[in-house]
Amino acid sequence: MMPVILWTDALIFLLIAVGAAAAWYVRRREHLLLPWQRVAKSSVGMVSLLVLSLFLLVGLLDTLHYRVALPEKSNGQTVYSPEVLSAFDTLVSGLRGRIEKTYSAPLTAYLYAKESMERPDGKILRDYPRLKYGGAHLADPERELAGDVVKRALLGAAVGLLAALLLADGITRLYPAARKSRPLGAVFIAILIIAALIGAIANLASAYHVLGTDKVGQDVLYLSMKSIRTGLVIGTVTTLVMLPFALLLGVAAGYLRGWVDDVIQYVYTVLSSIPSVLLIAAAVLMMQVVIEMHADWFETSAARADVRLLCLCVILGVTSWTGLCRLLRGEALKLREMEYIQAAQAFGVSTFRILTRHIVPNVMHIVLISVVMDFSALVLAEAVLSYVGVGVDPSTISFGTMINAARLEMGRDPMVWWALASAFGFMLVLVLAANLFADAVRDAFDPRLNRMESAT
Amino acid sequence: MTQILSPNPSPACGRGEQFLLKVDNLATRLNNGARIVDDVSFSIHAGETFALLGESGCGKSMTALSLMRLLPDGIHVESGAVQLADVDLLSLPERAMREVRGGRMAMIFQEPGLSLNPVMTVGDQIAEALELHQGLRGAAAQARCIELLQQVGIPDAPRRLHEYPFQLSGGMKQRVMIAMALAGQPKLLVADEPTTALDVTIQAQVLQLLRDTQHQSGMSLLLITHDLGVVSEMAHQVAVMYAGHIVEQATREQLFSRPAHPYTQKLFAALPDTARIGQPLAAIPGSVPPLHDIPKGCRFAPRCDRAWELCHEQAPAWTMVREGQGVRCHLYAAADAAGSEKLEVTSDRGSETLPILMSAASPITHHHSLLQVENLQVHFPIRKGILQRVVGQVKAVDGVSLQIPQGRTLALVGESGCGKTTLGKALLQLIPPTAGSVQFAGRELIGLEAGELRTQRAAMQMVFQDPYASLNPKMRVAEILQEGMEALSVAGSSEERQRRIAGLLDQVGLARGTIWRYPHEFSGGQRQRIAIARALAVSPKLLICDEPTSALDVSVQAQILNLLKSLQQELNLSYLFITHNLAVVEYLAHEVCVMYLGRIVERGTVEEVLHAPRHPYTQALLSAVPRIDKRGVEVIRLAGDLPSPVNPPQGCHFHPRCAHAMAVCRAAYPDATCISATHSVHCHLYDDDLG
Repeated sequence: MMPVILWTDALIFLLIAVGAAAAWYVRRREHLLLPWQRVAKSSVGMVSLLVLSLFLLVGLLDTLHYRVALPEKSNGQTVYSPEVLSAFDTLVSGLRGRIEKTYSAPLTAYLYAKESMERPDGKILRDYPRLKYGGAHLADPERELAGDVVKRALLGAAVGLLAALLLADGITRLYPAARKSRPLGAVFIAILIIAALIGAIANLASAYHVLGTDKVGQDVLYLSMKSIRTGLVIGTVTTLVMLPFALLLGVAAGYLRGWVDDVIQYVYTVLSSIPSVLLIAAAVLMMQVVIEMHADWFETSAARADVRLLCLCVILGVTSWTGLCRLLRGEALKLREMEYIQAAQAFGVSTFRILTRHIVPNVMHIVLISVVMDFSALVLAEAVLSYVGVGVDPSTISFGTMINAARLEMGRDPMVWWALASAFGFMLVLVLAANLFADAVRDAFDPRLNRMESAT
Repeated sequence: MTQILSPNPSPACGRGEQFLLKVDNLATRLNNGARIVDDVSFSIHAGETFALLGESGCGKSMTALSLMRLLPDGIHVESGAVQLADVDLLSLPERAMREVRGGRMAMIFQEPGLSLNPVMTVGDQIAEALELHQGLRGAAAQARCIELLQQVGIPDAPRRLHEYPFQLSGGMKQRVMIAMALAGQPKLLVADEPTTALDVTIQAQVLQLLRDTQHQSGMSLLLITHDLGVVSEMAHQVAVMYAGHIVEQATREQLFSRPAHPYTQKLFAALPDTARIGQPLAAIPGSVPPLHDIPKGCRFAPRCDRAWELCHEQAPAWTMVREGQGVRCHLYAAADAAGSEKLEVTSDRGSETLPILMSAASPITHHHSLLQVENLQVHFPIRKGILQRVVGQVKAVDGVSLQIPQGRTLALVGESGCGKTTLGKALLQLIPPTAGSVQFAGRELIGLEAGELRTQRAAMQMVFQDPYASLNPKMRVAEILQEGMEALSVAGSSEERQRRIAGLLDQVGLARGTIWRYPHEFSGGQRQRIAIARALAVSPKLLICDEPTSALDVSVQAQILNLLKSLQQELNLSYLFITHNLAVVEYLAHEVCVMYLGRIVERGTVEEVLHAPRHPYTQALLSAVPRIDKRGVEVIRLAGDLPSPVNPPQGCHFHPRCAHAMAVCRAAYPDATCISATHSVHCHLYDDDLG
């Protein structure tokens, strides 16, 4: 087995490192910790964080990539399979491997299309064939299916609940103080519900296609979960690309004024007045041509798809920094008139130092809030771009490609609705959780909402 | 425009019976239980002015908002009763309460700029109140609006009716606010620091307007203020609030002649004034306790030098000292119990007839001049159009000359907008001057290269007005103090810096353990100490103090003034003290420059300028300051506002507001006339004196 670190993997690891460092820094500083303690006290914030962290977990597992060594060797050297797998793929190898012939509805034992089948007696019969994997254990699906599904769901849910209760009990034993905290009640209920749901789905998924299968027979549940990583990468890496532009240019324009301000303002005014989809489409098409002409740059198709994803992030980032930049310029304009900036000027502190020590720390709350807010917008942007056809590589599984495929499925008769519905459902939960969390963060950082707390 | 200054005569009728407003044991709490207003009782007669006096954070505004039932979210009235005439306000349904607000009880706020809707014309805003409470509409409402605006002394009322708030000056806006409050013909007007945001000359106008209005309409006034001077000019009854309690209540005469509560006595003693030059002010140590941490027992006990064990354990009950004067203090309760009524607690005020000791420091001799400013000008171009052509100049500072000798204090006095702060920043080269010369210790600062200027920076530092805005909230005390040393490479090694920081904290009276704290953990006075320590970190010779105490409470102001004074003696510092508070000038300064619209109109020693002012503007400024011991003195009221520096009046800038204006004043700006070796004035009145 050979670990593979794709470009986006590296960036995600970098982000995690930065996040961990920031958390460590904040932990030791009380005034920075205070707003986060407020987040921890908000039930909505904590429940949405829980949901979000499940998505993050799936995304992270999907980021640990490797290639399997093939049994045969060439010239004594180990040969690796060209297919790049991830830890998540291994974990759900059952889902990944059980590929049906074509469409099948959620939780059924038959294909969605009639086929001509040759009966043992030589007659040709046109009927819905049984699935290869979904409900294969049932002797007579027509009769047993409903009962079996309910039985498996309940069993799975019960196991999930039990596990969650054991976990909660363990936590309260370790940290008795946790019992008293207010949002923990809500979080506890949320954990129970989610655990029951996961248990039921896991148990069902071992025998059925819970969300059906797509055109080539892949499990839609698997596709949806693979899409999470793509969504997260687009949301976070784009932010990483955009942030330096927005932060440096915005703060410099606001603080330095004069011609610097003029130039930066002209740049972002021009940039934001070009229709963004047009700009992105042009950039993506050019990038596609380059990648196609240099196929030899990439060892595997996964690497090629990954670079394409990265380029998309960069393009999105380069075109979407204007909003935050404008906000930060305004804030810096306000801050430069503050007396502590003038005191620093009176000491002859250099401009760079004033920017980094006085202005940037004081605009970080805006950056934080707008980054969390932007995240959900970017996940949605990927879906739109893939639908238009300028999004990720067709081989990359993403919400956008799922929705794009659903274009044909919706026009089919009878209609295939489950692929679109599950992409919609997963995206809704992810974006909703991110938005609710952003709301909780925003409230926690808003001094007007928290002024009463200073007296507690 | 001169008149005799005193509050309206006290309404004699119905004393002791006819209360307009009666508040009983009002208690207002935060949702977390902290009591912001605790057991407050008072009553106001019809036609009377009742002053609620106290420092910030004592619960004055919250008392007023409780009466109006306009408390912000998270605060609620817990118990008590409020009776307005015969109506119990706290039990009224909200719908009926709306009739009371504006109709029977109106409120004006501190910041006139924020209490008017910027997108509605003045007329519309007043008409709104008229329609609600008087049922007037259309032409009738408009006529009444004009009447109201004329009543509050706004010239050219029919035209002003259609103007927006941004077209009015601060004083005008406060007048409009008063007109709006009067629109419902209220029986009680609640004025929450109505003049705090205004200049002294405008403040005098607004206070006079309130007195006149009260005289005409016979309404009662609940005046909330922190300014003893305002109280002495306005109030009939005074209640002193401290940390949510009323600690003393008395008539004005009683309070000013014989303050009973130690806190009230201290407040009087903390006021800077001429009689105390050369001796430190009686500052009250510490600051008002935060509401969540109110001490057990007497709330003032931790700051009181007469507290004994009982004060720390048991909260004092309300004790009547004499007819009409009550106090919440154990000193008097003890006296009552002993039966010796005459255990009079001597106040500092009564005996205070010390002769004026001038210039505690050495008399003025020829000091070596540290800062020499010649004809300094700071003009800001006004640009218009696509090509940003310069169409005019704002002459913020227009030819100022001054010098500050080593170890002396020069006070720069003037109203807001006259260019004081701009001048201070131009001296530091924070704003590039347009012309003129600034010589510091014999070295010209204007036109220096950035690198050379940096080496000069250490010698001149600034202390800013607002201690909440002048410290970076994301930096700790040590980092704040270190910044200047690092930038100017003062004190080479890191140990040396640490030692220096410890020394600085000792110097400004902060505990050494505070260096790893963030500014938000300190009170206003402590923050100002940090700001002073930051400036001192690079061992400057000159400190430019830009209103360093105007954002602070009286008791804390005294601490800072004492600190500045002792630092001057210790380190032989020079100060340029920019202020509008003339009492502070008397206490701290050696020389004074009075500035009007970018130019200095009068200069001289403190004695000369403050006791024998020559320029009509200086005279008006001095008489506009509300003082506690200026009963019945003839005062000069200035009409109108400070003109815009974009378009200063022809001739003498002051002539449109001057009572002595002559033809020559409109024609030419007066040259300097020397009254004595140190005293000079720019006024045509004294042209002849020159001979």
